[in-house]
Amino acid sequence: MVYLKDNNSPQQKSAFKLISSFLPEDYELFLSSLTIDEYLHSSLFILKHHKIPVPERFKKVFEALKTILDLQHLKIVNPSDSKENNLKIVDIMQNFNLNPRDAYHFLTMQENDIHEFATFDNDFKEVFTKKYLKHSE
Amino acid sequence: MNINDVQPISTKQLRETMPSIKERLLAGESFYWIDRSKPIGMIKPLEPKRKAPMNANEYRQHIRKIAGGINSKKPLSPKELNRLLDKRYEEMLSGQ
Repeated sequence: MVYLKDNNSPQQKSAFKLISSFLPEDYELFLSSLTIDEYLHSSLFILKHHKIPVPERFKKVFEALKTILDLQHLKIVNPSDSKENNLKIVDIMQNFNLNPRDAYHFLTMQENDIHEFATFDNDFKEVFTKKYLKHSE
Repeated sequence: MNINDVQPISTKQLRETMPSIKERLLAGESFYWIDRSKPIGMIKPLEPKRKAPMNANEYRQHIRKIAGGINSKKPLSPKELNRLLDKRYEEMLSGQ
């Protein structure tokens, strides 16, 4: 999402190609509150770096987020509130060498029956290698 | 959903005015169900039916339209972006 929005990013083209390939008739897209948090943090960091005044920063990220959330075939998913499932986090961290936050991304996908993950994050290498998720890139 | 948009409704009202409650629900209103002075649940309409999905061309055009909006001077590489998020994570852990 960050790359799709950044006109000067060398990754914009591949982000565009990737997201454009997720056609509404074939795919359902999912974001979690955690991924939205990461998107907001990164975007605000870039805007701050450009010395964009604070109110304008928030206006820009709001508009950018809205265009993404407006996608018809996009849903927001989150990890369940089950204590039992939240206990799985430690096992996931250990088995896949993930930090707690990334382990929550993985748990969220498992609980919501999501099998494909679009990320540039190398920390999920073991998850992809062990074929628990398909890597879209 | 804004809490001010949700109307309280008692068990008695539900029982006595069900047809009008149904109409209001179909019109998009939501209700807090109050039983013996305590809220016990919510009654809200199901999500509206989705529009027909965009075809491949419309979808690509739409993505092209929503791309951009930020022009970084020094774009972040995937590695730098991950480092930024990891750094923030470490800051959170150390309480900075």
